[in-house]
Amino acid sequence: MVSKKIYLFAHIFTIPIFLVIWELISELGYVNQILFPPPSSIFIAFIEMIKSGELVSDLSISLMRIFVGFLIGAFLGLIFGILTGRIEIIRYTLGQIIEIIRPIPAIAFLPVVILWFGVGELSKILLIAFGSFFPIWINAHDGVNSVEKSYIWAAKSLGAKSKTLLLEVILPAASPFIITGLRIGIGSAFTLLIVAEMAGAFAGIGFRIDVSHLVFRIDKMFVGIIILGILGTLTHKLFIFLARKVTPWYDTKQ
Amino acid sequence: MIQNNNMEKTIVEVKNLYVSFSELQAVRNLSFKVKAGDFICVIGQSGCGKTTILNTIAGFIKSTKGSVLLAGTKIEKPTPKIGFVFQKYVLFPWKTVIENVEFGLKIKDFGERKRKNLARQYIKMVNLNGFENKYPYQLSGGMEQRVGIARALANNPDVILMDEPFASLDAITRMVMQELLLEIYIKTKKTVIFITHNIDEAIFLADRIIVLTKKPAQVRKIFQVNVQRPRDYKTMSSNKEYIKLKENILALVKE
Repeated sequence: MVSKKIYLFAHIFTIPIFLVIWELISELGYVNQILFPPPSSIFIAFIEMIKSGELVSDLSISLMRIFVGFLIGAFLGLIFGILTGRIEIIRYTLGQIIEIIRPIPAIAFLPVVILWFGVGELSKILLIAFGSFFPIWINAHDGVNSVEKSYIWAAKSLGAKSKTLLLEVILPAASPFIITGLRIGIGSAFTLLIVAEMAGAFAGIGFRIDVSHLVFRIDKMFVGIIILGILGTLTHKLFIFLARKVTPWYDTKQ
Repeated sequence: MIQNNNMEKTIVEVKNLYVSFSELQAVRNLSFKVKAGDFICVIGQSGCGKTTILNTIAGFIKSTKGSVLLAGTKIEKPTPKIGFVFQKYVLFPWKTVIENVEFGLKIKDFGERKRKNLARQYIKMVNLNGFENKYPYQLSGGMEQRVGIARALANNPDVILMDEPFASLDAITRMVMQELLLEIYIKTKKTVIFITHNIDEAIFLADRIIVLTKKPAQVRKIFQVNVQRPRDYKTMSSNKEYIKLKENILALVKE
């Protein structure tokens, strides 16, 4: 019992101690305070950004871009994943093309996308959609492609035709894979969001981080960075919750 | 359950069946007939092709030569007229017990209330009332298999195929399930084709036993089981016919 208390103690106090050490390193002049702001300045900058309204507007526009872009990428990824996963001729044709493009880091397409679509919302949303598409496509593809034959046989022996088979057997069976794909896809989406915003934008978290760097407001940069961390954690937790809700049977399946 | 008036009529006919997978021949010139209302057990050693035969009858796999006929019609793909109970249960894990059992009924466009009532009847028949809203992962193996049986039955097929359905269960659960199956069989008068490698199980359940050869599978011999129904384990073990039959089958299989 004693060791358990020590673990709990250590667990609770790690972050506060970490923050205190950070604060001290910065305050005691071992590093340039401007370049390495202490948590207290970061917090003050945070309050400043809320009061000025820029935090809320940056957050709104970034979330809008990710939401729309991810939704488009997820929708297309799912549809194409089902098509290439279930229909052989499509797998060998369209599937082949998608597979050739997939290994290319989506970031590499940023200049091309900006050239073709400008620096407005469209280019960012398209890039995010493009980047989210691939992990979702391949996981959906693998999911529907690897549904156990016996489920299909069981369904058919109960009279299932194509539509029922797809909606009531194949998609549910593939849902753990699909959710994994979505989880990886949202990660891609965040990366592309920041890259796109840093390359050409007038608002957004990524933009704010970039622009703050130019005016030596490192404290504001860190506010943006920490917010991204929080968003990442929240989406991660959201997907774990989603997986538990939609596929409660998956972990416990033999 | 619709009583078949032509109780002597052949309902399933396997005719000169050949099934091969690339180089491997699993079934060679297999022929037998099953009468409506019969309980047939097909015995053979592991790997002799029993599952292949059943999968071909079900329409899951295509024969290389020969045919399977259901009431005169060729079977080449799965049909709700032929129900199937799998060794590994194959319940849909994302569906509850009642959703699994009503699966075939939903496809047949039965209304919600009718569907649920019918499904509940079958769930009761396999002694799982109270478990309608549980998921397969919350059930034991024996319970899952009972759902599998209810699901196949609820669809009212002409024939039910069972692929070593109790092989994954412990000996005690197996005996309980066998007795339950016979109860259901008597109640529903379904035609059953049941495969197993367990001779005791085959004699206990069947009207006729088809013994297969080693791979590639052919009919070695067909035995009639002249033990009165209803049967139970208490009386079975001392039944003379049972003992004699078991000796004969054992001798045959050991050759």
